[in-house]
Amino acid sequence: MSIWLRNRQTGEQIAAQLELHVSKEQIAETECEWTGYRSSVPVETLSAIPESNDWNWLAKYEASLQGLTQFLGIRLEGKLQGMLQLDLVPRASRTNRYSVDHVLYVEYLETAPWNQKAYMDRHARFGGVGLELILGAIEMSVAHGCHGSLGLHSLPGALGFYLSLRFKDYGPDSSEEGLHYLELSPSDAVILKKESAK
Amino acid sequence: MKNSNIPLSRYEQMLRAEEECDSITAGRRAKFYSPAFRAAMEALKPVHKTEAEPLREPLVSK
Repeated sequence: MSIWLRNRQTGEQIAAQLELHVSKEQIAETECEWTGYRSSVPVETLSAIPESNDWNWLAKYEASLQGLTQFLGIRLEGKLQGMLQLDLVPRASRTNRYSVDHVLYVEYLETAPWNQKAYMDRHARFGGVGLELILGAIEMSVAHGCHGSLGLHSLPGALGFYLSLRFKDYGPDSSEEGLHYLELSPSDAVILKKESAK
Repeated sequence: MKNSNIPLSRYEQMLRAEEECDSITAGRRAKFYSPAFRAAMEALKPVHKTEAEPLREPLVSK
C-alpha cells in the first residue's frame, strides 16, 4: 500500500510502502540495521538515552503469539523506517466501560533510529512514519471489527505525539510501570484519517 | 519570507509533534529493557545513603 513520508531536510513528500505483514526474516534484517546504527552513535553525544534504545524486535517477534500478532512496517529506500506490533485479539475499550466496544492493542511502535530526534537532533530523515503506522493499525482495527479503535501504552517521550493524533489519555497505569494508557475512539479514528489525507 | 502567523494544518501539526518527540515509541517497557539499560537508569537516580549497620559481636563457637 502506497503512503507518503516527509523528507525533513527538503520538505518533499516521498512515496513509501506500508507493509501489513513484516516477516521474521525482514525483522531480523531490520534489527541488525537498527542495532548497527544505534551502536554507531556515541552514547556521549546523546542528550538522553532513547527510551527504545535496547529494544530488540527479533526478540519481540520470538515472544509473540504467532497468528494473534501482526507486524506492520514502512519501507523506503529498501529499509524499514518504522515498525509496529499489533495484538489482533480485541480488548475491552476503556472509553466506555459500560459498552461492549473493543480496541486493537498496539504492543510496540518504533521509528528507525535515523528518524528519531534523540539520535539525529535536527537531522532526522523522514517524518510521518509514526502517523502512517498508526493509520495502518486503524485499517487493521476496522478489518477486525473494532471500527478503527486502538489502545496503547505510550513511553513518556512520545506522549505528546499520541495526544496530537487525538488519542485520549487515561493516565498512568500501575500495572505497566506507570506508563500512560491511551485510546483512540472510532469517531476520532475517522477524523484522524481525514486530517491525514494529503 | 514565511509568515509564521499562518496556522499549521492538522497534518503539519501532527508531523511537528512527531518531530518534537524524542522518539516515537509505544510499548510496555518492562519486558524488553535489558539489565544493562536498567542498571544505567538506576545509576542516574539520586543515591540515598543509609547509615552503616553497627558491627555485631563476632559469634564465637567453642
